[in-house]
Amino acid sequence: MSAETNPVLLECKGIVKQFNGIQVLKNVDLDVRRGEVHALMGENGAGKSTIIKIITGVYTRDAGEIYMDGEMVNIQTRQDSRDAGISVIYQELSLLPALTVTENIYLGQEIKGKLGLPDWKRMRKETQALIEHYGFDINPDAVVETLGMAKRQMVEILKALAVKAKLIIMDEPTASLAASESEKLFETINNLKSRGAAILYISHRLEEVYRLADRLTVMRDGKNVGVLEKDEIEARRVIELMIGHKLKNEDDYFRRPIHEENILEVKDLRYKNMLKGISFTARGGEILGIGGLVGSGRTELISCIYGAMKQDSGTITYNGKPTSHKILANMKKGFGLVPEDRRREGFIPLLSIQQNFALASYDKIAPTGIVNSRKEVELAERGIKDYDVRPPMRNLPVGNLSGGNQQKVVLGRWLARHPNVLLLDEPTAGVDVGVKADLYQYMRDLAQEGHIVIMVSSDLAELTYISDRILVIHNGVFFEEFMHENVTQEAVLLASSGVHTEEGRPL
Amino acid sequence: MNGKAKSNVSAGVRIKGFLGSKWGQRAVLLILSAIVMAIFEPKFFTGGNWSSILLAIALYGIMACGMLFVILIGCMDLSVGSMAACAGAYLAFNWVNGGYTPQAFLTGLLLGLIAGVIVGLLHGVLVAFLNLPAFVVTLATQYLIYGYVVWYTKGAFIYPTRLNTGGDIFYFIGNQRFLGLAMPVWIFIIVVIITAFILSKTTYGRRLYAVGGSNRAAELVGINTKRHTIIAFIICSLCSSLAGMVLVSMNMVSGCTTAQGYQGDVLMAMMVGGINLAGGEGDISGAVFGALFVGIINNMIILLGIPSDYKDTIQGVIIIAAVAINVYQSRKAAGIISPAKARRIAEKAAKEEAAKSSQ
Repeated sequence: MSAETNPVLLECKGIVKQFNGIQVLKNVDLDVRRGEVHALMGENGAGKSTIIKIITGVYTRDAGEIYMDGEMVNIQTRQDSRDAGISVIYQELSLLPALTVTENIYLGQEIKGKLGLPDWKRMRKETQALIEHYGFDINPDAVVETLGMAKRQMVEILKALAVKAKLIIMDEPTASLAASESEKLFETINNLKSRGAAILYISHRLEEVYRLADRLTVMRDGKNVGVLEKDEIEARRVIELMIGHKLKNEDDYFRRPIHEENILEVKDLRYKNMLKGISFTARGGEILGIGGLVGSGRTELISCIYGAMKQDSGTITYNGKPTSHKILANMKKGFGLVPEDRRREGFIPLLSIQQNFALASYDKIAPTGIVNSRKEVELAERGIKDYDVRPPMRNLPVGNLSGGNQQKVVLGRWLARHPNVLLLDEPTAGVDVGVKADLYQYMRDLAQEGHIVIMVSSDLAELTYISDRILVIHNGVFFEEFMHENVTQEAVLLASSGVHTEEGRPL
Repeated sequence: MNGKAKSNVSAGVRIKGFLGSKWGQRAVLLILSAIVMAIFEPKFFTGGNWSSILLAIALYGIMACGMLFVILIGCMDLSVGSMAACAGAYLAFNWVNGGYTPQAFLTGLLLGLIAGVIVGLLHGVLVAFLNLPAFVVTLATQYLIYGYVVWYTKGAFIYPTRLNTGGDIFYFIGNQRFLGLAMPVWIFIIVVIITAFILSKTTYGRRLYAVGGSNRAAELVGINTKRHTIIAFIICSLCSSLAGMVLVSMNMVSGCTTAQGYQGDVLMAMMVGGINLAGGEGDISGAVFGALFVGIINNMIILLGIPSDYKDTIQGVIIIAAVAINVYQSRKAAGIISPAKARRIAEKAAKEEAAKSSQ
């Protein structure tokens, strides 16, 4: 089926939206055809979320028109949007964990039987029919909290299908999925598409967009800066549209000198049933990537190294001396951790940029326990300048910054300490392309100084791009090792699922 | 040119800005209550009344300073009133039974403070290590301590006076005047200064905000959140002990009803002062202002002859109003505005745009 000939389903014309007098959307046009996966890309703050929220009735537009199937619809509330046949699946799923699949699907839209009571038997039957129709592998009676993230997402999709949504909007659907789970989602999406559903797909991940999208709309600064057809979608072109200028040559990899005086050794590390004897050595000057599925124990591994979790057995030594089980003691030895869940674990949203920078360095700038305001200000101003935090206002609460700038604060406050061992867990999740490049540069600079950088990532492009060496966890042990020169994304993905390839070295 | 533009900001805009700030709102609240009092009860402005308001403020204020530490880490201490009664009873009992000697006073004082440390430690350990909710823990210890006080005083009141009071140390801490201010007010001022110093100048104080803002994130930058929690509870109980001993000296009576219900007044002071009960937000100026406001309101209720039956009702209304204002303000700070206002702003911006392009 060729998407080009399909009729237009959703059409937005000249959408304008302002907040506090600032124009966030400036005359945006967007159209999605029936039976296509239409990708929407743009850096953070480009206006992607805003246009989605207008289409779904979370915000009301200041000007512009929205058509469904050629008919003008006036979307003012979420209900208007649902009535028009639009469903949205947000990054944070909105399922109630204690209820079953069927109950979740029909929550708030129960089918009434006799006496106006919910007819669960019929709803279950309908659910079963939907599941069979789309070939999902899911049990209608399963309690949602027992399901993995990928299946939960399927439930969300079923929810949309149950109300016969014509357009399904997916906002970063793979953000919390492991690679194999993403594969399942892609299958589902292709399945939906072949049955005539239209999908508006928002993602930061380029490789997903290449695979899935029939067309791509790129937004920048509240404008639609280009619509690409499938055969025009190409990495360089997309990124140039997104950031608005030509890219430098990306192929700038070089191996830094190894510093043998800076060595982290992990021997036979075991933690619950997640880590079953992990051993490796990391050397100064090296960026070591750790791959594997979400939930494969990657986070537990670096948490044990940092001292945030205690291993059941095994040793971790830095330069021959065992590390502590106390975070502060390890911090003083030069360890730092950028955690996965930035909002909950990475920074303190209510506190200012300055306070957040200072928190990680009080042992250095206030060893006596009395704060020296001048040093604190200096630290923050230098951090803001060195790591290009925007807006450059040290008294702004970090919770008010964009995701990318929040991450610059989280990373920057460690970099300001020049950590000997920096551990990063999904450092660029939800960060836009421009900031990503900055973060990579900071990691390289740190390694160049002779420090150890260990990065956990689900983003295969990132993992293979930045790492000198990649270790892939499978079944609680390191399964395969790859060197930068001969690694491919496919090989890492296969190793994550326990398949050896000729690129890797089995461990 | 920029500088000139700034100085051209009209007085009206500046006043509006001031009224929108927390200081402006605090000033307005105080002035409003003063006007109400001036109309209904001129006695409000007499020196005698003011010194009694100040005494009440000092008591609430000392406790509020302690409570601030606990609330900053996102907890709560409902046992402050009972802690005050307990320490007050120790002081009065030992003073009377020890024969009104300075040694007897010191014994009572030390026992009161040690009790504060022990109770705070207990709260801290239960909350930090057993992860029990502070609300429940301190609700329980509130009863526990009052019960203990009844047992300790055998249910009787202690009147720690001698006929020739005036020169002794017990009288001194609650009643002596110095530079025109009563001793409790001086003690309050000292506690405020120490609290302000700890919260703004020490790493302990700064880290408290982090612990309250996000416990896990604080832990991951090497902050010993358990220790910080325990110390906060100890400081809170110590402040209550101190307030209780001052109160007993002021009133020259101690018993199991001492400071009953004070936790309500102190929590109200916190909420009026804009201290975020969820933790991580608030400062000493809020605690002081809150104590000031609660002191004045309680005084108004007495002076206006409002039956004390209505006191709780009035306090309830004030708490809801204070919380509503704080929530409204934090929504405003977060950029959440009503749809009607958003439309007005958009229309205004569009008009300006049109005016610009026509020029």
